[in-house]
Amino acid sequence: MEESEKYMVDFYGKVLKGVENMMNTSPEDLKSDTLEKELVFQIGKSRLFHYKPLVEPDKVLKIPTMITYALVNRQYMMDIQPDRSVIRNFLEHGLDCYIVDWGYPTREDMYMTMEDYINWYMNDFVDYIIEHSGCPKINLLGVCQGGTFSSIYTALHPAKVNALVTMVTPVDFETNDGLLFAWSKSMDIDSLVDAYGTVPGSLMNISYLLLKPFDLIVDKYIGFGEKMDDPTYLQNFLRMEGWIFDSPDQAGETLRQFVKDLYQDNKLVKGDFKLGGETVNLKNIKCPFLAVVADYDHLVPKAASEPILDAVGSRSKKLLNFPVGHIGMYVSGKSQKQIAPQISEWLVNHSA
Amino acid sequence: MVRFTDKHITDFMFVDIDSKRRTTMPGYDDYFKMGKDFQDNLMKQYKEGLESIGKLYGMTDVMENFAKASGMDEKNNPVNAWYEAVKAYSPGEGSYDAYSKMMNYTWKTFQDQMTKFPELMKTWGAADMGSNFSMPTMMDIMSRMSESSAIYNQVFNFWKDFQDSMPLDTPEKIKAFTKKSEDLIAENVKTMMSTMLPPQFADLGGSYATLFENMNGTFKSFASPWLPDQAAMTDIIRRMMEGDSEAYSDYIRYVSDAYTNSFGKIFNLVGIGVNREDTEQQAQTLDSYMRLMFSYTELVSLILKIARKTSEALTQDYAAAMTDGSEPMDFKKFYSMWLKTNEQAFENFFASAEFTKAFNQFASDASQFKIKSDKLMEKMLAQIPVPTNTEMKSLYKTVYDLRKEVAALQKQVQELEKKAAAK
Repeated sequence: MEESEKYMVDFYGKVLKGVENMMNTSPEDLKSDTLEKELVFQIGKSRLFHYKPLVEPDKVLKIPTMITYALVNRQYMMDIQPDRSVIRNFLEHGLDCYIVDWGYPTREDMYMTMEDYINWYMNDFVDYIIEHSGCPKINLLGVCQGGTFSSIYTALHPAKVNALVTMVTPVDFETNDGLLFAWSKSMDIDSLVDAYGTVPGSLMNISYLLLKPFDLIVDKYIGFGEKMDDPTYLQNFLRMEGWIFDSPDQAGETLRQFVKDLYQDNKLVKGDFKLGGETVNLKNIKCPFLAVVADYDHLVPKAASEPILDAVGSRSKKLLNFPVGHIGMYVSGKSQKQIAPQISEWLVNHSA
Repeated sequence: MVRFTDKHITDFMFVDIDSKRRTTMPGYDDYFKMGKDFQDNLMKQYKEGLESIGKLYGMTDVMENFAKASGMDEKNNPVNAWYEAVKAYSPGEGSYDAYSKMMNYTWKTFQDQMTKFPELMKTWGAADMGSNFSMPTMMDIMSRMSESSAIYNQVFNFWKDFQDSMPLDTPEKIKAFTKKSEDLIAENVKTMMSTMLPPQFADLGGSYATLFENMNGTFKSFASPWLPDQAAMTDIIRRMMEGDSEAYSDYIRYVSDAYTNSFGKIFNLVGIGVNREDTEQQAQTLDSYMRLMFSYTELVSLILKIARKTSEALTQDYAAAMTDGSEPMDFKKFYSMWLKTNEQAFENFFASAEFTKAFNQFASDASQFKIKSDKLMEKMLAQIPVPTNTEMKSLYKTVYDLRKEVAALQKQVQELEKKAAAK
């Protein structure tokens, strides 16, 4: 009993010390997205950035790579902090990286559709890179929903894609392994979109918290309290926490189509999905293909991400599995030591 | 004692879930209060508009009779304010007067807000310069830590109580401790819900007792004259008294069905008279509110059912382990067991068809209520010189179409330019 009471006293002592650390933490200490990059193209609220290479010009890969993140979170997860930066790793391996920042949709964007995001925005971004790099084809690397978009894009515009990488990307929505997949099947998405126009990111966050309520609402902050007296830990936590709740609102029509056509009707792998009147056939993806899957992904279970390997028409294709979670794919030790280097190596080998 | 009034409707409609963060900003309270007064007044006018329901369907008398027959506790009546509005109906003051008052108030408040806003921004700006705690991330985290620490303390006090009560060697002791365990989980659920939902909703979900207290008066009053089988209702109430957690869900379904077949029909009747559209819209909004409350109550009762079962199992397992002569578990180990057991139980529950159905019904009803409330509010605002939601949506659509058209034309021009340059 005494020991446990002492533990509680110590716990609150650490919290007090942590609060002091918090007061001494400046916004500068918590910056993400620090790699040098240039805004090269913009459509509406979405922007295309070009990273400054970190290797000698003659060692930069000739074929550029465009990274596309999900709409539901922000792309700077890929460069969350200098010592946990997937992009830095890519750049150090000589990749010529562009990244799409979808921005923060507001109500004026409520009518934006998947067709707009893929056939208009993505296509214009790709065209820009092709024109300015002089390469007729580029590499696409899509993360989560961004991987779904990249796959659809490649199926519709195969001539513009040299190689495709999907990371923790849902394509087969039949599964109920992940709670989001189970809940979405009977979700009244029409009412939700009609009620809000653009669906608030804070609403989306509630559903993410429900996936692991005790871990994410209680234990995470108890664990933080126990370690927040360590300034480095505190800053890493704050940076990550800032990212987690930095959730843009969702353009209603895009969300409506994504839920109805994919989560509910699973049209993409069935070959029934249409974009702009054109049927999307994943077998049209014939370029070299790499799927990167997380073993402990509670947001996109393997049952949803792995089937893409069979769905595409590529002869040269590979699956990489890692024993990490959805976010661990980008911020874990394995991310820096294994995942990013292997992806870079694969892209280099397929960009001759 | 939780009171649920129509003020909560306005909270739900106008205040986003992140309101906690904003309430911590200096000067926010004054500004927020002004907004709230405005919203409250709007709802007051809305209630007065509802009087026409009583007039058209003769419901004023009906409602008064309900009040007398059921001895409704006004403090705990979820739609007390609406009831009061109907009860206080005065034939001399119709909805036109109510709308006029609302318009005058709206204009005055709008002017006040415009004057106040720059001052508020200045205050916030100064605060941002002065303290890192104005940074949203830190504010959010402090708020979340405060809530998780509250739960941690609840678990610690429970564990401490457990140690003091050992050994749990009689059925009476186990029963008493199981009750404490239920109280703990009710507090835990309430605290966790407060991180996700507007406070009024979170308060409603504190315990079965609170849920029942809040819902019973209203549901009974609305539904009892049409309850198809009084014996079945009596049986459900008996099971509730005996602590059968399934009975709470049965009760909610039972009164929900009764409502659907009674007031639910009245609220969806085709209106008549000059104010036909208004009365129809008002009645349907109230109906959507009732349906939201039913689905919310059902969802929370299901969550509490799982929480209670898990808590019982946890207590009994721990008590059994201790009577086997094992060393008492220290708090850290107990907390780990508490966390793991609850997380697993809720993960299984959230994956169930039962939860999915209830959760999606709640989300759908909440959306429907927002759609109907927004339309009602839009109608009230139509008389003042501000753009309405419908007008803005039309504008957004026009801008969207034009943007696409311009983009397509720009592409055509670029292609033509390329072709011309190639010649």
